[in-house]
Amino acid sequence: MNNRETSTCEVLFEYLSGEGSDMQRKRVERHLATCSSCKEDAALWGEVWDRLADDVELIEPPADLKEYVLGPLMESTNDKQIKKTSTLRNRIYLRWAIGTAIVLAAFLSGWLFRDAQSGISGQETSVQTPANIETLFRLSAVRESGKFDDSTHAYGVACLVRSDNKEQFVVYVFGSPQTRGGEAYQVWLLKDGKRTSAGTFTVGASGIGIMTLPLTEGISDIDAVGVTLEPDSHSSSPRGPKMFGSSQPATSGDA
Amino acid sequence: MPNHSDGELMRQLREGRRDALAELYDRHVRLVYSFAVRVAGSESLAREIVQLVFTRLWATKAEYDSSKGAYTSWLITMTRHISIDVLRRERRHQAMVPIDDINESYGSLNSDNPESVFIRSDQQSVIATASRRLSQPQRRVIELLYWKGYTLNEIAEMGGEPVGTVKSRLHQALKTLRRHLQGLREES
Repeated sequence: MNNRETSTCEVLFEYLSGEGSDMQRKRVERHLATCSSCKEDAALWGEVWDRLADDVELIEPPADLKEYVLGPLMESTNDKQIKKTSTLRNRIYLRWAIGTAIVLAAFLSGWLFRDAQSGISGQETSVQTPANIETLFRLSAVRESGKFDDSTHAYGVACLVRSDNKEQFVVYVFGSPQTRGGEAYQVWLLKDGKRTSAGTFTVGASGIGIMTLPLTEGISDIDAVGVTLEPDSHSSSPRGPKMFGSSQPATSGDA
Repeated sequence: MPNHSDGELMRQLREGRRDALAELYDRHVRLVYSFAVRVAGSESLAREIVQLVFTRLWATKAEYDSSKGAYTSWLITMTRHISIDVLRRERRHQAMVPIDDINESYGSLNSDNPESVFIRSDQQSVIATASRRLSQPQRRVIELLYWKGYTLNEIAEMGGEPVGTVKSRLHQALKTLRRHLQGLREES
């Protein structure tokens, strides 16, 4: 076994636990085909890892959880929303926008009001959804970045969410490569050719990332939204590859 | 839809059948919620995790391939990924929790907690029995890696030891668990 193979053996557990860059992961996969020791360890991992989940004591979920979880999903395709979004240019985009609004409504109903709900276990809680979602941008993965070879369904959304007394700019991505080390995704807002940073976020093994920016003075119109993958979270201008880019704003719609 | 398999319900889900989503929720929410509480250690975060899991099922029409294993395993894998993401997000907003606090948190989850409504199984789970054979350091590496989503390097840094030591400990822990899982299977 040469040194390169030895070093690949040493990162097997990183690979099995979902760590490592795409390149490293592919190297381990090639190595696994030829290294009997790593094959054995991978089999050991496979036999035990999924069984760890069995160590969960079953808990009865709170009575209101079903409405909390499914309520926004069941309600957000109502006639009102379909009518409001019917101005979209084509049906494919319409379906996408509704789906995105559903994701955001569901996610944000938990996100925005989680603090208010914490600490009131056992009491009656009511489901609250954000008042509306505006300036919906679809974020398409920039496949030219070469970062989405293993992800055929990467996409994102950027929007302005208003609730009773809060306004937030929210970016949410799915199927995006996990950040490594100090890497960070950075959100850029473009207006009249001028680019400003809206903040950074990281992405875990699930490929999901979210950034929320509370707004105190509103936000001016945006021409476009871009997301880059930066080597750290301190970029004042993009240094890494562009990962997502926006289409034109779609519409406004109640969620 | 009592007779439909989980795979069939997932197919209906992709067709936009909301009743299929409701049925999957009814069947599996207890497991998803319990897992989320185990990982996140709080009801409010567990609620968010459950919401993200079912929203993802619905909004992305996630594809389940029954030839690759049981539906619950697939669902738990997704739940774990989402839970770890949420947990890491929370950690970014907080100072690094000292290792002792993590152990205390783990301990409190396994003891009587007046705010939780634990339904304890009469029989100790097989994995819990096998886990008792692990040393404390071995249990800790499993806890931090699997349940709390720390990377091997982070675990090494927290313990002030080489990552190789952590991997070796993990390796021994997995071997011990497998040995006892096999033994328990043969006994039953």
